[in-house]
Amino acid sequence: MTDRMTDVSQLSADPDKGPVTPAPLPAVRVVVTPVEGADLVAALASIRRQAYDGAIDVTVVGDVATGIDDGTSVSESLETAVSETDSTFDYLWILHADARPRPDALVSLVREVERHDAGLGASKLLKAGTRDVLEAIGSATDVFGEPYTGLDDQEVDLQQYDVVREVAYVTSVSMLVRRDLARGLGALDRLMPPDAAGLDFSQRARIAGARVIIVPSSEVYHQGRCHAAEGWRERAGRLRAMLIAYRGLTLTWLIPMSLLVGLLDSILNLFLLRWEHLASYIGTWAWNAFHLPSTIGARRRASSIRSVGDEELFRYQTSGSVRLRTVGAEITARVLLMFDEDQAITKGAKRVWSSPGIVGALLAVIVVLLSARGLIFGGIPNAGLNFAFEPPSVALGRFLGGWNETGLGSPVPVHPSVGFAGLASLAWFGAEGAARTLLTIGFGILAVAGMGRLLGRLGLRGPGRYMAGIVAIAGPGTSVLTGAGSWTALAAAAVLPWALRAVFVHPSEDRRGRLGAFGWAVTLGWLTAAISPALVIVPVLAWLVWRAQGGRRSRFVLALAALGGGVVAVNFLSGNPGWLLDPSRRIGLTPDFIWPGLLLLAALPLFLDESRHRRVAGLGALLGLGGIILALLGRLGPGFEEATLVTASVGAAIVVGVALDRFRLEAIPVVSTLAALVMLVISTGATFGGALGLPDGDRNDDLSFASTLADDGQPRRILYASSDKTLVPGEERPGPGIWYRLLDGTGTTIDEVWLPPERAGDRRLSSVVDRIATGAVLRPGASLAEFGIGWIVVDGPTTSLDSVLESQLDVVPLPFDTVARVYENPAADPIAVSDTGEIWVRDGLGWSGDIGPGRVELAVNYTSGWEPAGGQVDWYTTVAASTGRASYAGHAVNIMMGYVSLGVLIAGIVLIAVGRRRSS
Amino acid sequence: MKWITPILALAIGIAAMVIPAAEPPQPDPQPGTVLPPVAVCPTEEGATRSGRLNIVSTVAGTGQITIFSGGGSAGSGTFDTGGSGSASVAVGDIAAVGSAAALVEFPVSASATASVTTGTGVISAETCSGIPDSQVIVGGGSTINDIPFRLQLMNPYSAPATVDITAFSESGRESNDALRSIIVPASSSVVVDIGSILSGRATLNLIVEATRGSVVTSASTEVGGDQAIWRAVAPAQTWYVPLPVFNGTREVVIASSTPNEVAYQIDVFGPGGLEEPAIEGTVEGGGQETINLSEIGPAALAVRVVTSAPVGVFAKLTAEGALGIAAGSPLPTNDWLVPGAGSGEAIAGRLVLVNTGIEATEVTVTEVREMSRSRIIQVLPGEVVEIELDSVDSDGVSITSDGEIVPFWIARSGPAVAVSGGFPLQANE
Repeated sequence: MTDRMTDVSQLSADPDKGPVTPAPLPAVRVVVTPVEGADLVAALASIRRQAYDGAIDVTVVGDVATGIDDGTSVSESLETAVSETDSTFDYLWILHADARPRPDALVSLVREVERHDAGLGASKLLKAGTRDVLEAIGSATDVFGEPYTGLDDQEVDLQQYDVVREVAYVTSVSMLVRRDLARGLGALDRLMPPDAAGLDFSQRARIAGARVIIVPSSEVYHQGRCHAAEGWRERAGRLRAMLIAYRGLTLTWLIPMSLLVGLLDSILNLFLLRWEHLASYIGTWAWNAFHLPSTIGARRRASSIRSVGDEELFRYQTSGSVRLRTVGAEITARVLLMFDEDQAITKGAKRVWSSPGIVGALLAVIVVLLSARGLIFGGIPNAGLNFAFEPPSVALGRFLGGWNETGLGSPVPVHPSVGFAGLASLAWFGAEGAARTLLTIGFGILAVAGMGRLLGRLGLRGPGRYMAGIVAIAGPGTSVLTGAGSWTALAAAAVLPWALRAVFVHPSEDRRGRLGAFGWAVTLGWLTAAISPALVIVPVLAWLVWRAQGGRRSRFVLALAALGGGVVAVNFLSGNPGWLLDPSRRIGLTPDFIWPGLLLLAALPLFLDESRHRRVAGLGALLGLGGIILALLGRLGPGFEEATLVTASVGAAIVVGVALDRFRLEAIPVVSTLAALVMLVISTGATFGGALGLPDGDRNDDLSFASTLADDGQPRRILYASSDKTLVPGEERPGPGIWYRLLDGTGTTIDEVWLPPERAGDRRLSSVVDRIATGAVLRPGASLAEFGIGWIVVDGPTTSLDSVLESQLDVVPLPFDTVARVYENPAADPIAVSDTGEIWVRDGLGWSGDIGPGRVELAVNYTSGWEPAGGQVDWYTTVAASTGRASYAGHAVNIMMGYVSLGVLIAGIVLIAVGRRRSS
Repeated sequence: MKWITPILALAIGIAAMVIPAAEPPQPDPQPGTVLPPVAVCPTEEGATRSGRLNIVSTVAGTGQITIFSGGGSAGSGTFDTGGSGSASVAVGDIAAVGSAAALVEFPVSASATASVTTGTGVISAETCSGIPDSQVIVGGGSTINDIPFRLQLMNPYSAPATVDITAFSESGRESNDALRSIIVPASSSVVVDIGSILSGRATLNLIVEATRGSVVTSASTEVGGDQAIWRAVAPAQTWYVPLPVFNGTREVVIASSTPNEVAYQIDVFGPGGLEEPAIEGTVEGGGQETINLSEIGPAALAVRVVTSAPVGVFAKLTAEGALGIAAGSPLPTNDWLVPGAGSGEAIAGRLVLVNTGIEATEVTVTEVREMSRSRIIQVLPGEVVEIELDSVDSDGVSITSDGEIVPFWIARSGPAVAVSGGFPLQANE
């Protein structure tokens, strides 16, 4: 160790003049600052061992009773010690009690500070307990005072930094300061923790015109007892240091920028499941607000000694924000890790192209992005079963037992995907449109990553496992679902592989990270059930199939944990069981006949393979073919149908992944691979239309006349009918030779996709539609007025309803659509109107209007819970106008279950965070 | 265990290939058509002619009449069928707007109305149409010797209609752009002057098709000072046309709606029942055939026309200063309403009935008015009877029988004549 150290005691003051007798060394007063838990005696001993020929006086700061020898004085505080230091001393060496300087540390410091005419010099810090691991060699900062050391974690000292240089700041662990400067600066700020105090002291020294240098030849081992974790106090101290050091002009832009950067950093850290940053952010600003008077005083003192501008502070600052750079790099690494299990990218670009998975992942992502080009440039279509998100507050209100506004309204809770959409919008700062676009495109990429990671966990390493993600989003089931506009099918195909993966345990994680694995299973089960409730059973089935084949590393408890995530759908399923069980409500989709054959052709040869891949192929084949056969049988409702079709696709994707991975130039494997390639090509074709397989068009745009032509600003409902089931947006009810449903005139949203069970108003509407369809009603507009139906749209092939509507007296055909026939009903009643004729407007989940003594009629199905003074007239609801607001208080059980499900999600996330922390 | 998974997968895969997919959900069955309680009538009100709307219903109740012509209501009024179940409303009391149309809304579907126009030397009557058909046929028209011949396209509905008219004359299919894409706005009545578009045609057969929306079509012509108004009918393969005793020419016009030749057979019923032999012949594609029945005998008679393809069949009575044209009835049934039928001041009305069944039937004929009168008549199988109606104002006739019959009504006012069919009740209820 000594051989690489610089013995400065042998150096002359002026090297150009050759070796001469060393000049007398300056007198130094060593001030030892207390550190909790540090061995003061040992610290003093290390000071006594200093090979320093000049005068040394040692002072210990604080209330010290024992361990002090006679030559050591005690001072009440650092300020006192500084102020009591008279002119017999040239320097103060401020040293933490947990620092252990090497014998030549002081002499090196003194020599270099003298030589460079610096006001403040600090030692190189090495971690105590190691031989040569660097802790600090002086730091730069960003403009916000965030330190940037440039050191890697556990970086070894190979003298790579052994150059005396000016730095932005040094820590207060071991620093030598000129006596006059110390007296002028007023010692360390007692409100600040060590690092921040060092920063503050360094900055004040610099604006006073002193040079701050790091002296690598002065080595100090630091136990780090004074270092708390990177906490809010350090950040608060740094902010205070900036507030003290910068001029007012700089602060005018720095403070808002700092606020923004801190907020962004906090939010980005939330994505990494770190809530502490947000708490730290709040604490930092609150602490500084509290200590603002003392900060102003400190500023005033600093101004009195200022001799240079802020340019001096900017000199050693890095550009940008260190915090944002750090969190950004971490997020990037995490995202890349989704595709790059081998960490080829993060470890080095040279290995990228030799990584087995990365090429497949890149290709698959390119295909997905090309397939999503229409979504990227044209937005998400509103068609079929895919409609816009609501604002997060409204969506979450509905999810937590709020009024279901679908059709004529219902107290039955909405589909849990509404809650998921609300949370996603909330996470995206309430921008529901942006959240929807990013989610939709993200689903494609997540499906690719999910399939790759699932198959990776099951032992596959080839590029095909990522390409199989394309089959997941556009395979036998999802292609027909997304073709019908099912956004949730796309989402489910993206999430299911992850949920399946959560059931399987990696060998390296078998014993550790159980808490995190449990958390992941709960969270992914929650997400799966929120998107497609019936799908939450699939992880359990996968565990069963895997176990039945003799596979290990799957955990039943994890499958059950995923199933537990299904709590999110309990409200919806209990209120709307027909969605899961009623076959007459099926969408009526079936996979193409070619898929079972292709799946068998790809899977059967794989059963001859080694056991590991045989099991994976078996899992995929049984899930895929099982999903297909159940979809073909069509015994249950649309929820079950959706789940079977998505399972079919993910099962097929697993088979494709294995078949591509096991490619060999032998007859039987080639057949399997060819079949897999055909499935891949078919899937790519299905999704390549530009919208990830979702249908084009914007039904809300097509039907926008309902809102633009609403003279009173309150659009009426739209009665949408067609003999072609697929043309009716969302779910529909059977009518006389037609399918029909009501749509919101303001634009259909995701909560309206699935219809709640029929209530009195729906039955009345059904009978009215039946009578209109016979042609017996000469004024259908008058018959439909009470339902707030202002528009009738008949789409698709001509039906008997068309001839009826051509031969009636009070609804007016308008040429608003090139295909669908649009009729306006001028007689339509407003949806909410008071008995004085005042129209009430929609307000969140309710309506609002003028306060009055009368009542307000709401054209929504009656149920108890409407306030104030809700009442029933015929099928609809009335409330008192006394408060100017009509609102619905959901059933207590529904509200409770909504919160419980959110609690389960939060618990899952917390488990992940705790598990991650424990693992690391 | 090793082979269970492949076997299971194979079994499921084969099943998936073999088992047919479940039928997709279907909507509820299409409902049967119910006749809306409404009729659409041509009306005329002027200096020399006045129109009445005679309403006959099976119940007492109120209804509404709206006169429309050029895109909106020209006037409307209500009526009450009262204890007799009938009412008569003068068109001029609602709106005197010349040639127009009326929408009559009944209290129930089992109601009918007739538009009767009278004037000096003029009488015309026709039972008004209920449901508009997308394709109808009009036969019996002519524009030779500058005979006026007009089509009235009536659209009482809120949706505009577009109409194509295909015309056939003795020269074959006529081509004229004025007959294509005729727009009939909502709540409007459009008169197409066929006489000015296709002048000099001895026979004209018009097929009216609504390509968008719905219209009710009627035709009118004038010969020798008398006017005939008759409604267009949906083509059918069987028609019944009773013909009264008439001192002039009695003809049946068969108008083809298809481009191919149509074979027909006419069975003639007389006072003695079905007469032999039947008359047979063919109608050229799109053409029309006029069969003069005057030579068979002076008594009332009826014909049943059966064709190999859908056609329209019309009765046509002509004499000096007299012209009456009416559409036949495609269905015999037990109960009928014959609105407008009756006698009164200067009008002599008679009712012709034919028993189309194979058994004798007992027919109850009720002349509906404030003091209605019923009479019971025995009609033998195939027999045609003619009844003289009371010489007091009636709103129409209600007929019930225990067998299938077809009625026809004739009115004489001086030399002028008007004929009209009835409104079958059971078929439309």
